Amino acid sequence: MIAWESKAAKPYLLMAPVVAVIAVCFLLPILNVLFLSFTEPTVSLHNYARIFSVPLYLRVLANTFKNAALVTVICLVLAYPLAYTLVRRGPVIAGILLAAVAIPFWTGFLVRTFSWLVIFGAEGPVAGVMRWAGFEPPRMLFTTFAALWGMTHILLPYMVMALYGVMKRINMQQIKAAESLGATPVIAFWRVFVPQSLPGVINGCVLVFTMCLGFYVTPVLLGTPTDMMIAQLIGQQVQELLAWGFAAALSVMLMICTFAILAIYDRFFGLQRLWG
Amino acid sequence: MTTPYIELTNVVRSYDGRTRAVDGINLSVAKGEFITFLGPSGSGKTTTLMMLAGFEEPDSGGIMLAGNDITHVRSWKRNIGVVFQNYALFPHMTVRKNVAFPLEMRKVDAATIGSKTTEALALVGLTDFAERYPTQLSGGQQQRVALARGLVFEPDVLLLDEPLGALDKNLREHMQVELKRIHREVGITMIYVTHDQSEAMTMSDRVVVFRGGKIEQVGKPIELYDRPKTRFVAEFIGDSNILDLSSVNQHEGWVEHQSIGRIKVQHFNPSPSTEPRYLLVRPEELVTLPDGVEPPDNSFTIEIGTIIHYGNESVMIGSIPGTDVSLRVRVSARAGRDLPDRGLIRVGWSATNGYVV
Ligand SMILES: Nc1ncnc2c1ncn2[C@@H]1O[C@H](COP(=O)(O)OP(=O)(O)OP(=O)(O)O)[C@@H](O)[C@H]1O
Ligand SMILES: [Mg+2]
Repeated sequence: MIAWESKAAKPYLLMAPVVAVIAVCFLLPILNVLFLSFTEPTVSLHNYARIFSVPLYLRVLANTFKNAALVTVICLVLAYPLAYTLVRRGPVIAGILLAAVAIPFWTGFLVRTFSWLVIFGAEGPVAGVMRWAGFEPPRMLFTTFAALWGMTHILLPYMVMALYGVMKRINMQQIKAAESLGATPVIAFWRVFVPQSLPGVINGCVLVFTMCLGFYVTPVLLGTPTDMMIAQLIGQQVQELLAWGFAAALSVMLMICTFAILAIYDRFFGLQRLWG
Repeated sequence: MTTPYIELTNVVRSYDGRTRAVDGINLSVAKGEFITFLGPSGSGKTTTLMMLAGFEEPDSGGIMLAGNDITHVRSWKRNIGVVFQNYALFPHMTVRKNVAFPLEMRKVDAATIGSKTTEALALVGLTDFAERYPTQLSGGQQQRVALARGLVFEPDVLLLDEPLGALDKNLREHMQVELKRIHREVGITMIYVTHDQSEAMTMSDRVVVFRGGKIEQVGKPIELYDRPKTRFVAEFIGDSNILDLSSVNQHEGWVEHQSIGRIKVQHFNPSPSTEPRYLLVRPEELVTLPDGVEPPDNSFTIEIGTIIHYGNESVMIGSIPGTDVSLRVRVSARAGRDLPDRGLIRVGWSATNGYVV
């Protein structure tokens, strides 16, 4: 009996280090944030009430969702044809394209963000080309456009990978079969390929959207305070106003939103599918 | 043959521009025929089928179907059904939706789609599985869905590329019978690819033997078996004894083998394509000759080498002492068990049972 028990306990013991790390590095800070949000500066729900009573903060929340949705849609529109090309083309072209997607993916996103600072700068190459062509370049840096551009650039590989993972499992002979049954290539694509790629679309969108919700560095560096997202607001509250309690409440809000999205996803598709 | 329904003329197809996957194929198929493409791996069967289906275009040559030139017609505009080896069912649609797909593409009205789909599912015995998804079916059942889907829109031709290749032996035999029944009931022209020669023999009206992108021979199964035009066909179809001949005298009815001498033969290939020529004797035409039995036209003493027991019959392989000639002799299962493991035995065959390729 005892032997059996210890046997069953062993696998859990193996998990102990991971559990410890997660508890210390992840759960404790979260609990701390939760605690702060209800207790700082006084024990009350005041911090939460403030989010919903000040229009500015609601606007930031709405803005966050709007920007995340925009980035998600742009990523999808860009990634879908790319992933489709990856699965339809021969291994050589697919390999080159995959590398083109993956190499920036391995470059730190801070580096990639800074590179846009240079490229979009007033003296940068884009402005240079525009002047050369005879335009006065518009202001590109520190705009919503630049923030969306930067986030799209950083999150695009996630979308491509999510789509590619699902698409490469689709048997292309089905397309031939559909054509032999009277479907034009366009109809075969829409009726046979697209429906089977939907799990990848949903995965990619959830991944990009949730990552976008909490995005900090890129919108701060490339975007404008007038188009603030929630992570930026949190940073501002902490760094400039030292409003720890309110920042914590905002963080909890962000976390709840993210969890809600993942919970809905889990309810319909199963969370384990998110990781391929 | 009556007027050809399908006609391939000098069809050539190369994938890399150098080697020809299909190298000048001429073939006529009559309406309602069951034609099998048989040949070793890489001989061009699938490529030919894909050109019929419209997935590949010939580099040169033409394909006619029912009097129309379809050489460059896109696949979705041809009225040709295809059944793939891996079935290629649509996993996100139910069985019924899969079968209805070609009818939807043809903008058939809903009521007709309903009745035709039901009919097609009944034809393949899947009435009770209509609402399942393909992944919830066995391999054999998936194969039937693919068949129903390929037949439901009454195509001019049904092409099948090794459709039974993934099934186990029993199921395969069962599906062979089913396919023949469906062929009889529907009366559709079928072109069937396999590299299983027994499958080709049992199912086909005519068999087309492919080799290296060319057609080696076309004929009824029994013709290919009894009167192969080349050594390749003789060896590829059925079990065989093949002897290299040093000279042939058709006039006097004999041939000569370098080490075993003259052999009497009655049947000669009227238009031989190979030189040197070969004598074909099927293992079942050889008989063992107990002492005192009058020998047939040709008889030899052989030394028993191996006996292979298949259960229902046996094959004895022996060699003629002092030569490099070995012969395969088919005997009944009982006789096979009674044969000694080694030793000499007399075997022979009559002149009518040999064929000079
Ligand atoms: N898509 C392709 N690209 C390049 N070469 C090909 C392609 N498909 C077939 N081939 C080549 O063409 C030749 C004929 O191939 P095919 O598939 O027609 O043979 P098959 O008779 O169907 O063989 P199997 O019995 O193995 O299916 C082979 O040498 C093959 O390597
Ligand atoms: Mg093939």
